[in-house]
Amino acid sequence: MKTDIATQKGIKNYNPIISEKVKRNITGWLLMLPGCICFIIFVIQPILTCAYMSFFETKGFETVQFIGLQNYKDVITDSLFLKSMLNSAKYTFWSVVLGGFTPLIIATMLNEVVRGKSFFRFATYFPCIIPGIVTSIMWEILLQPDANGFLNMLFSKIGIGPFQWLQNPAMTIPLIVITMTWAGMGTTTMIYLSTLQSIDHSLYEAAEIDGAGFFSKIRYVTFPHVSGMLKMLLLLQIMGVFKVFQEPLAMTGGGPNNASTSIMLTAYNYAFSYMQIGRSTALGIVIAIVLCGFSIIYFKITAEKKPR
Amino acid sequence: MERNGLISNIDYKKTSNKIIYWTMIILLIVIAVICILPVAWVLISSLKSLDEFYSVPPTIWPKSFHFEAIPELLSKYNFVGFYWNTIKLCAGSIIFSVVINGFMGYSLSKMRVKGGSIVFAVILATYMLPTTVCMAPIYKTIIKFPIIGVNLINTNWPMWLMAGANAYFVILYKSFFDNIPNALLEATKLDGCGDFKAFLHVIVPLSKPIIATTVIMSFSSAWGDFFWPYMVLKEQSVQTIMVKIFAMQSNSAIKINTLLLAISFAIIPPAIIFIIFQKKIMNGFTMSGIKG
Repeated sequence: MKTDIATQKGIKNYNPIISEKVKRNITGWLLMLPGCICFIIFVIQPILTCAYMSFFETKGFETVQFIGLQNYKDVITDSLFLKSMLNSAKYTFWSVVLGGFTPLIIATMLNEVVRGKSFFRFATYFPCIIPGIVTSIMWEILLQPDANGFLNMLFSKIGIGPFQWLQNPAMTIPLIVITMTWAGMGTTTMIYLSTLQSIDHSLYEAAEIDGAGFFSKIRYVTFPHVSGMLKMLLLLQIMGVFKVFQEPLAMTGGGPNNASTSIMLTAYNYAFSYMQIGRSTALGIVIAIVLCGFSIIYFKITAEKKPR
Repeated sequence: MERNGLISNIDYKKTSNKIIYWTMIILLIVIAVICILPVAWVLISSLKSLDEFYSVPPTIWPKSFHFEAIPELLSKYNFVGFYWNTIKLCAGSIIFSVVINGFMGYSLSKMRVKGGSIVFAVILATYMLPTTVCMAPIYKTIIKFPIIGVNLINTNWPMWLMAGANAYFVILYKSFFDNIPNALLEATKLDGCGDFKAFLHVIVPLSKPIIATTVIMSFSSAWGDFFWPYMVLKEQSVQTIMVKIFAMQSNSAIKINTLLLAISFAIIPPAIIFIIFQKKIMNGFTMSGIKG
C-alpha cells in the first residue's frame, strides 16, 4: 500500500506534459539562438538603424540632429537621384527585353534535343559557375574599345568596327544587361527545364491527335503550364535588376558621365564617396520600400500557384 | 531515340518539323559557343606573351604558351596567400551558413517553439532585402560591433556572421524538415532515443542531400563574394582573390596577361567543383524550385 501511494505522489509531482513542453521550448530556442543573433545583428538592426538615421543630420557615421524629412527631400531633388532612377528603369526594361524570355526559349529548345542534351545543358549553365565580379571584369576586358579587345577582334574579321562598347553612353546599360543575362540565364533555364519536364506528355499526344502543329502545341499546351513560373521568375528578375549594383561598379564605375549609375550605386556613392550617410540611408529606405512592394506581389503570385 | 519534347517521333517525319528541329540545334550550338568561347579565350590568352597580346593583326590561338607566368603569379603576386585567405573565408561561411541556418530550420519545423512562427515571419519578410540596401548601417556595425565595441575590419567575422543570416537557407531547411514525418521522430523517442541522439542518428543521415546542396551553394557564393570582403578586407595580407582581382583591374601597372591569368585562377576552382558535383547541383534546382 505504502509504495502505491508513493508512486501516486510521484506521478502527481511529475507532470510529463508541462516539463516536456518546457524542455522542448528551451532546446528549440537554443537551436535558434545563433541564427537569431546573426539575423538581428546583420539584418534587422541595420534596417532599423537605417530608418532612424534617415531622419537625422549625420557627421561620419554618427547622428547629429533630427531634421525630419530633409534627407528625403535632398535625395529626391538631387539630379543624380533622378538620373539613377531613370537608369534603373532602363536596366529593368532591357533586362525584360533581352533576358526575360531567353531562358524559357532556350529551355524549350533544350527539351527537344535528342542527342548531346547533357552537353548543351552543361554549356548553358557554364557561365553561372563563374563568380559575379569575375564575370564583370572579364567582360570589361572582352569589351575593350581598342582593336585588341576580343569582340572588336572578332568583328574586325568580318570587317566592321572597332566599336566603343561600354564607353558609348547609349550602349552601356544594354551591354551590362547582356553580360548579366549571360551570367544568370543558366539557373533560370534549368528551372524552366524542370518545369517543362513535369508536363504530362499525354497532353501533347492529345493535341497532336487534334491536329496541333509545333507552334500551336507551344501556344496551347506548353505556355499555360509555364506561365505561372514565368510570372514568378520575371518578377524575381525585375527585383534583381532593380537592385543592380556590383556590375556597374566593376565594369564602368557608373560612367561614362553617370550613364550607367544605378539607384543602388548612388546609395553607395552617397555613403562612401561623398560621406553623406543621412542621404544614403534615406535612399536605402526608399529602395527597401520598393522592394517590399515587389515582394508582396511575389508572395501573392506564389500563394496563387500553390493550390494547383 | 526517344523524343520527350514537343516534336514526337511521328511528327519528326514531316519536313517542316525537321527544319524546326535542326534550326533549334543550330541555335543551341550558337548559344553554347557564346557561353563557352569568352571564357575559353580568357583561359587561353592568359598564357600569351604581352607582345603577342598587342600584336597586329591579333591572334586567337597563341603562337607560344608561357607557362612560366603561373609560378610568377603564385609567388610574386602572392596568389598562394590569397587562395589561402579565400579558403578560410569559404570554410567559415559554409560552417556558419549550414550549421546555424540548418539548426534554425530544424527548430522552426520540428520543435514547435513558442514564438517560432513570428521568427519565421520576420525571416520571410527580410528574405528579399539584400544586405546592400542598408550598407551604411552595416558598415557602422562592422567598424564598431554592438555591445562589445570591437572593430571587425580586416577579419572574416562580418562575412561569416552574414552567412549565418541566410533567409533562403532557413526556408529551404524548414521546408525540407517539414517533409520528414513527425511519426519517425516519435518512434525514435519510444525506442529510448534522446533528442540529441535522434537528431544525430535519424535527422542528419536523412538530410544528407540538402546538406550537400547547401554546402555547394554556400561555397560558390562565398568564393565569389565580393562586396563585403571588398569593404572589410583592406589589408593585403587578408584579402581574397576576388578583392585582389578588382584591385588589379584598377591598377594600370598590372599587365593585361597577368590580369587574365589571375581571372583564370579565380574561375578554375569553382569549375572543378562544378564538374565533380554536376549532378548534385542540377538536382538542387528541382529540390529548391527557385534560386533566390
